[in-house]
Amino acid sequence: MELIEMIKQDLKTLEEKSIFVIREAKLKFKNVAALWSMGKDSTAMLALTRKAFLGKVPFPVIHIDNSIDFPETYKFRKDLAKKWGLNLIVADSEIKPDLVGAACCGKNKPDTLKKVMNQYGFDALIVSIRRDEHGIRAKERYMSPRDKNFKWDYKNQPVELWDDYSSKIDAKGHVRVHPLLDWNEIDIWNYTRQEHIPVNPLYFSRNGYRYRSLGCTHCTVPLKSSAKNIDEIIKELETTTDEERSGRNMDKEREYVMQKLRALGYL
Amino acid sequence: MQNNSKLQGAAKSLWSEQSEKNWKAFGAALKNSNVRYYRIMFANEGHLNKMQDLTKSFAELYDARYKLVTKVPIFKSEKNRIRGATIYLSGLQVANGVD
Repeated sequence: MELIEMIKQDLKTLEEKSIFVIREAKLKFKNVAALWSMGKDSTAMLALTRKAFLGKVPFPVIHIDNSIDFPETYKFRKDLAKKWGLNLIVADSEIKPDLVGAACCGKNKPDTLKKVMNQYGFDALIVSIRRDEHGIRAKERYMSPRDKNFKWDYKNQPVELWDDYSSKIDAKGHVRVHPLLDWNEIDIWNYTRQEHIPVNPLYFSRNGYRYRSLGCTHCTVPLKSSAKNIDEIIKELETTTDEERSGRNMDKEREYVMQKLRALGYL
Repeated sequence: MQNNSKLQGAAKSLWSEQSEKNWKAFGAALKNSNVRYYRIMFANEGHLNKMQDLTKSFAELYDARYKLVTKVPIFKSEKNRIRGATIYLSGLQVANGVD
């Protein structure tokens, strides 16, 4: 079998699984929302959702806005929300500068998310994390319960056998839904190319640098790269030995910082 | 040049007061200027250890030939609080790798 055919078949399998998980979430929960960071993964998740629901995203899409995102990210948000008719909730996140680096993300974003979840009464939240991004994300389930304080008991999670996902939630808790768990970075880019999904321009190289993982302006740095389009990004990823989140400062601070953040409610 | 003068005037107003009104005036001037690229200059290597780190950070704005046009703060003052203001630079492209 040709390589291109194998990739297409692989993507088809991933797509079917993700669409199944997204539809299950919509079916099992009363009030679902999705998080959108305007990055490649959450935008691919929205494209999958549109495929699952005949061209529409049938639930609100939340952007946790700390007001210091990249200008390109704001423009991308505005343009795509209009093009896809998204029900966008922009949740203003306070900047608490007394909290440094990882603590800034670990406190500010979950606090804002808690407010917006309480305000709208969401019982399920679709989040576009992938297992290959980080060791702690590999411990996630497709549907992962959080308690009322957003805490994640990663040592005691429900089993997910034969595509039977738990929809049990604690009082005032919610469930995180992860439809992209099985995807890897190259899968996302192959799918983005195949489906012509719009892409935040920050991912493409300019003057020898590009952003591989997007956060806010203060904690994300570009990496050396000459990849100016998706084909070149895929080619680059096939040979790179750099980690995907190597441009994200928060991942470098301390050992297990991500594990601690996620247990406390970070996305 | 005329358009950039208006932008420089709007930037000057922003340095004296980071109000919503001044940011909107800046946004209008930006649309009619030759500015194409931005680069954010961080205080304290990007770490927001205290609020002054955000208020000391600023954006350098360049034209298509990477000539510096002006500098602007990247925050706005609202009632008793400070917010980022990078959304007002929408439409510009990040100037990677420019020294």
